[in-house]
Amino acid sequence: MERLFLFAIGGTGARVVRSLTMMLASGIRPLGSDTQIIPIIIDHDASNGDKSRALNALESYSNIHSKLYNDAITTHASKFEDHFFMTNLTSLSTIDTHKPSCTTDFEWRFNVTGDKRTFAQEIGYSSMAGTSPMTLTHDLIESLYDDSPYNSADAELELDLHKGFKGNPNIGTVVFHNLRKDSRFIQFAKNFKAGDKVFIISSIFGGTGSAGFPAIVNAIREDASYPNLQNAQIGAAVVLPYFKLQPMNQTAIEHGDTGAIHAEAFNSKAKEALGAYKESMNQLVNSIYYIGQPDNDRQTYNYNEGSQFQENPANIVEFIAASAVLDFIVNQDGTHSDPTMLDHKPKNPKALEFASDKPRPGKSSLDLTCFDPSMHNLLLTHLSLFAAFARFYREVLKGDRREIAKGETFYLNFMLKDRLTKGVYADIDKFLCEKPRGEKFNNWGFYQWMDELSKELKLYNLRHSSADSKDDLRRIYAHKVIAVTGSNPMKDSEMISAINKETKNGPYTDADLLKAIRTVLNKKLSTI
Amino acid sequence: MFELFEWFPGMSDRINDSEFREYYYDFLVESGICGTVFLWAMIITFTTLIVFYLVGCNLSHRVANTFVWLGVLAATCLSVFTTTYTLVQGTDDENDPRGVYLSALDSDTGTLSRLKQDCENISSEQIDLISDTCNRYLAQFDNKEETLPIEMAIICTLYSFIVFVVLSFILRRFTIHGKGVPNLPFM
Repeated sequence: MERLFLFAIGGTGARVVRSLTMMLASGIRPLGSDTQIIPIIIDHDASNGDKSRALNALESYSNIHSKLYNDAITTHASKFEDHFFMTNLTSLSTIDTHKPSCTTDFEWRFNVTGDKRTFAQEIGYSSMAGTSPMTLTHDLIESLYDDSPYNSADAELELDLHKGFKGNPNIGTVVFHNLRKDSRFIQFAKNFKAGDKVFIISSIFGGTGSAGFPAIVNAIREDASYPNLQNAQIGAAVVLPYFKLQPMNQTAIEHGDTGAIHAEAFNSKAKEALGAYKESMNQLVNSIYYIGQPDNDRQTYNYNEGSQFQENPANIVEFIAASAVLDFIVNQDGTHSDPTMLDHKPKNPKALEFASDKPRPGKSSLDLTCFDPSMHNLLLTHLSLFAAFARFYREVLKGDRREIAKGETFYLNFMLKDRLTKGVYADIDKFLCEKPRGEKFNNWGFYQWMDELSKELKLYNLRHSSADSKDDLRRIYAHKVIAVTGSNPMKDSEMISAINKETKNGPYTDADLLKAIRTVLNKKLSTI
Repeated sequence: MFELFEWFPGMSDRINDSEFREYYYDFLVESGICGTVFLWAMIITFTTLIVFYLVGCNLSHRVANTFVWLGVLAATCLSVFTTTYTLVQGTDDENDPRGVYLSALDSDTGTLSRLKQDCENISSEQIDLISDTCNRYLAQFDNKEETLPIEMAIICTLYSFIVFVVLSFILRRFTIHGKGVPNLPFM
């Protein structure tokens, strides 16, 4: 079984995990049901909106995977390949062999309790003043950190850690200094086995990510207590500046923001960090993926310093960073990662970048034609299947566009009449997040995610429009209408007929139904 | 196989109480017409069922729906009705004595012939009686007062309908596209 421990640090890390979850739902080959990914989201911002959305997506995915595959795996010990939701996303607590737990807790919670906990309290600043020789340390900290009140834009010692580090890596570095003694890290280290891998996602221009990434890498490489871990194959997606912020407005002030985040400093912070990584992280990480976006192409977001108000829309840079995780695990041509180690360091560390074609003339967003075949093999082919599945599921099975005849053979065989609003199907509805007439179950699901991306990345038409025929999915791709010569492979009746044939001999589990739909879609789309 | 038909109102009376009971008895009981028409009804019904389900509903999703099923059912019933009616009514060809008309005539002339052969002393009154009976029967038939063909056609159609519906629910589970055919509102 292949296992990947995935550390997602800060808001960027959480947003990338949300993208990754959506990608894994499409069933990435060869990440079958025997591949385990253990996400660990790290963010001091206790109520961060992006973190909440990522956690919701993970839990929803995990529920669906469990309902589709866990019983089957237990009873038949079979591996699922070419299935939606097949990769096992599981929590650290669940795989803990020393203290197993069934909780789907994907978050690394810090001891930030109570209404407020300042940086000064975190490091015991006030207790240093009267204790020799700590008075020297106290004086040093006093000189290095600003002691403005908590509601000041310059607050550092009085910064409330409940809202994260507000773009201050100088605070994050200190907070993460003793990371390897944290119970969660110990839990991770004890459960790490030879052959397992680590991947870390972080931004380089924020506070949490830029501090957390080196802290975790150093904790892994420098601790000889866990030899398997010390020689672990590590990948990392380091996200360079990719968005701008509008000036702080009245709404942000009402949310308690202080103006602490300076978007104009993102580039300079990134340059500083890159200089430091060149001699450190680049030598300690087997594969490091640098992903960013030129200034002119960056989206501008509302000013938010964190907490539940920070819900940045999904971004193409996060999409690419998530694909980096897949690239690391799959390592298609064998050149993007080398596990060979020398003195607990990678013998051949690799730094990788990503490029795509520009949007086609007359278009403002990228589409499927802008990516090379390796990206299609890795991800986009499977994502296309999932997008087509989402449309067929919603528009035909659930009846958003047309009412499927209740006497259809596969409908009867799988006993869908009373089950499409319950169990795993209710979970899939939430994961897709779309209701009829464009209403939504939530703000984090698949349709919402694709909508957010569509400004820069328009891959699919996920909704039926007046330009569509009443009974087919020929307009599933954003960049073209599927041409028809002879019979129309994307016609609803053709799909239903093919599903009947695919499922005629059973078995009739929910996993088999989704597999059948995927197989049929794969045959149809691959002939186009 | 007259037992399959005698439950129909008036059918038993034909062979027991009617003026032409001998003719009806010969036709309905002795000639085997009941078995013949019932067999044809079942052949038509089974054939359309097999073609619809095992061929149509396995090869074509378009065919496998309740509307087509209703159409096939209607066509089957119509086929059975017309076939039964034709068989029972028969033709005018004296060299091919089938159907109620000529079998009755044949029965009558056969009786007459046997009487002539067996009974040297058969009286002319007896011969006239038989001939009169036959002529009255033929007149009834010519005046379209004979309803036996329609009645037997109705009975066979009813049997065909019942068998078609019952076997539909059995055969449909052996199809790729027809498991839910028919799918009627009350189901």
